[in-house]
Amino acid sequence: MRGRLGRGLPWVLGLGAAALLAVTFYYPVATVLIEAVSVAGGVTIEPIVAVLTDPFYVGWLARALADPVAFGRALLDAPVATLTGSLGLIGFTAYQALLSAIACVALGLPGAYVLARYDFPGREVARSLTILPFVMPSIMVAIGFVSMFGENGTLNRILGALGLGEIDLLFTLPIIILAHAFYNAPLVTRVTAAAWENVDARRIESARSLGASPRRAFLDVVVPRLLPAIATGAVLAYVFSFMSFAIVLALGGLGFATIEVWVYNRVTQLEYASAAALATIETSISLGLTYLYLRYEASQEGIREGGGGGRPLKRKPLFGSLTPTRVAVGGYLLVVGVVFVGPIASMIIASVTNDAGFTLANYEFLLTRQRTAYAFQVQPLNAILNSVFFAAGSLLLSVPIGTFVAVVSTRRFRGRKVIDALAMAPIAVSGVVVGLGLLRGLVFGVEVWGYRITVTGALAIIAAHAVAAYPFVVRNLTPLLGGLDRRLTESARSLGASPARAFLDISLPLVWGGVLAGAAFAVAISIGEFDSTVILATGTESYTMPVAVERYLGRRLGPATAMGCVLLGVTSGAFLVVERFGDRGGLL
Amino acid sequence: MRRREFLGGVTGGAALLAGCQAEPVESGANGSGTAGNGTGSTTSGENATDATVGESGGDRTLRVATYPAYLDAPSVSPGGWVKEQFESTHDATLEWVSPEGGINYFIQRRQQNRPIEADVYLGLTVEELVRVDRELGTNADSSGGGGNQGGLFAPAETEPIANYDAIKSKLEFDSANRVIPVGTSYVSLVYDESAIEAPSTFADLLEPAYEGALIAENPTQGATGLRFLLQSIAARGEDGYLNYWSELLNNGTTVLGSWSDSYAAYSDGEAPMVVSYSTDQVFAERAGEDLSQHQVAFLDDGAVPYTDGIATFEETDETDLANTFASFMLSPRVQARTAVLNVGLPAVTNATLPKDFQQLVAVPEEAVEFSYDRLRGNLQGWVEAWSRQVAGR
Repeated sequence: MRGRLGRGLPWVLGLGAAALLAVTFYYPVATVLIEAVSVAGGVTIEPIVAVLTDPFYVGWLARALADPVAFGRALLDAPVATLTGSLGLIGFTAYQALLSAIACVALGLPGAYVLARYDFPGREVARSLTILPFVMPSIMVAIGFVSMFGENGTLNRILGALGLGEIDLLFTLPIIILAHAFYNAPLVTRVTAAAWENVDARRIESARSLGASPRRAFLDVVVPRLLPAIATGAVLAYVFSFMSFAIVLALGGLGFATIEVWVYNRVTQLEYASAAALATIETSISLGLTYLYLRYEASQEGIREGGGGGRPLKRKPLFGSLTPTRVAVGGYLLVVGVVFVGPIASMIIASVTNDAGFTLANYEFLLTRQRTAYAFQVQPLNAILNSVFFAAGSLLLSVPIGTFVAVVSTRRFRGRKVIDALAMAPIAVSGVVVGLGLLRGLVFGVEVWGYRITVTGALAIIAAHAVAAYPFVVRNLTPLLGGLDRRLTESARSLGASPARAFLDISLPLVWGGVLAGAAFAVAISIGEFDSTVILATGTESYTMPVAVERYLGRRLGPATAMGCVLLGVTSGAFLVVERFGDRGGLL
Repeated sequence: MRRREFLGGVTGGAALLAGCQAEPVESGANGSGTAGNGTGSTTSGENATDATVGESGGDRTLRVATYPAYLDAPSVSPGGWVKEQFESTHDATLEWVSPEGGINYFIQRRQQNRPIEADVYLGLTVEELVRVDRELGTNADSSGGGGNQGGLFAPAETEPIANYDAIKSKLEFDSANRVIPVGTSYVSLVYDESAIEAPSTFADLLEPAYEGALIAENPTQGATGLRFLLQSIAARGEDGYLNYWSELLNNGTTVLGSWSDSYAAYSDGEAPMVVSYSTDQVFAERAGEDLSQHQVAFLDDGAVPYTDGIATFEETDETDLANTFASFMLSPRVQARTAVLNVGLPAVTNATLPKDFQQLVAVPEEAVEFSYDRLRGNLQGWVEAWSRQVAGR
């Protein structure tokens, strides 16, 4: 039994993962992207060339290609103005994503430090809750940001009360970047904190015993282990900000349009060729960056070997005598209060207030809707149950698939980083295109041998969520697997264990923390997912909490904010339970 | 042990995934419009007292497609009332269909030669009809009639539709009668009179008094943004509207995404004026809000109407029932009630609105009309040029 499991398992997982990806991702997306390179049955690159030579999309690059001499002269005359004056849609998208990624690292890294190196009451809870921004539908983030940073928002009221001036952030680039940081800085925090906690204290001790200063030991032992994690977080933050769409329109406006805004505009006008061309370019940039990052990650493996299973660093108490570091941590927590807690708290306050003051009317609305809704309307409880069910389902699918892909991509063979990059495609392809592809490929169905196969409803939704989620499992696991001491598995193999058995018995327990971290993201992705869910839903019976938030959004924001708070409450509860369970029941 | 169960769950999940639907592909059934037009059998005449019931045998089902807010809005939405009333007065079942993507969903189904799973579309606007015809290569003359392959909507026989003659003049936007108007409203400015005075012309909006005062919407994301853009084209001409918008943006106007984005920002006091509906005070009154923050202003005394209607899918086998539904929707009682529930205006002249409702709905002196024909050739270019200008700044 054990032997058969060991031999059959990789095949089952590999074929299962390949089939799932083919049906719910690659085929649907291909049906859309093909339009960028096909016209009336023939092959063309015209739509893509049209984009790449249009100053509207590529800014000065188009001028440089059209008339290199004139452009060169302009560049010599006024280099900065020439390069920054006209970025074009694609250039601007890349630029704001870069600023966003920097902001994410700046805001996320100190958080990892605090969580990994300090002990304080509620640390575990705080750590669990860092996942919350990830599950928030963009509508909710927009509502929270307007009520926190708006002209009459909480922040300005606090500043006013303190006698400080007013800040006007809405409809500017900084608020968009801040919103991207709200989403993605916690990602940097989580990934980096996990790596930090994986540092073996004994290595620092031996460095110190060999005469290294604390600073030297930190730079030589800790930093090399953190860098890949920080890079992972930064790259993911960049890619997500690069593909951003709803937040940009709600908080900044059309003047800050990104590529994805344009893809959406094209698709609503049913202009598939230009939508596909733009999405293809968008995906190439995201995937290209992911590939470069993966090459870097692979180059770091040797440095980090020997990780896992060590003794973690001892945490310092957060509260104590005022040292410069503690003061800095205090300042950071203040920033966290404004940027992360502020929008969420403002939304919670908005859900229980109206013009007259405190009210529970918005929550009464949810109860009334639960009792009296027609069958074709969304009921809050059904939405909650669906969200939990889909999250559990996509967890069960995405964790083994992600683990499998992570194992494959840490094997050493030529071109593995290409495969690894392709496996990351679900996070690098335009959400609008994935939605359109799911509609065409799964909802409209495929004709096979005289039968039309359609895939919709709960199972299709779970599959789509799992596909969106498994890259997070991969990214959390790969650095840990790459850092494992190969001698451990090699000795198990030499004692007769199959590769799968050696992995399950030796490697998996050592990287279990990464599995849990990936699982948390999988659940969060599923709970927060909106686009695929509404497209694959067969009706209100498969609607989830984010769909309910969207449906309850009307002229007044109250009902939607109340549903949003339910979403946050349910998610927080789920995470506290899951992570507690993971810690106790895990294989560590 | 735990691990074994865990893995068992995985393979179980993979097996479940195989569960999907497979249906035999019908041969040649979906190619061209198969449903014959109503053969003139006058099923039911819906009138003011609304007592007549069609003689339809058995429990027939009418599948009505519409946009989500018609069925499920947090305040009120007409969907539930319409279904109950229609079913109680007719021997038929009304089944709502509300695919994400609205009319685009059906255009795509038609393009991919898939069957249309609805009999009627409720809520079709002129820009959507233009998109249908542009995508499917149909137009008012060719559709449904003869050799044209695969249109989406069939022209209605208006004769059996009760109260059809009472439809307000100028509301009809399809000369082939594929779309029968069932409701209308106007897109206007909504402003806070404690902060600004009402602007009265497009030129006013360029004044320093309105610097940073207006939030508008993306025309590809909703009816309000598009209609405000159209009105600016009517005011400044096809050659002048882009210049006008450039000045408008220089004066601090913000263009957000959807109406929800904009209205939320307006409600939070980010700007004293927003492009919205002229029925805004009805909502405000219902919610007990201060009406001074919900004043309605029409630029140049005009507004672009937002009219929507019912269209019958070519493929339907229920043309009679579809006509019955149209009669039902046009009856004065249903017109008055759905106008209140949908917070709009009736499409017919003989519906009596409640007094207080009528007082709260602002109506412009002039309706700024854009005909189907004018939009058919120009709409896409106008929006494209405008979007490039706004996003390219």
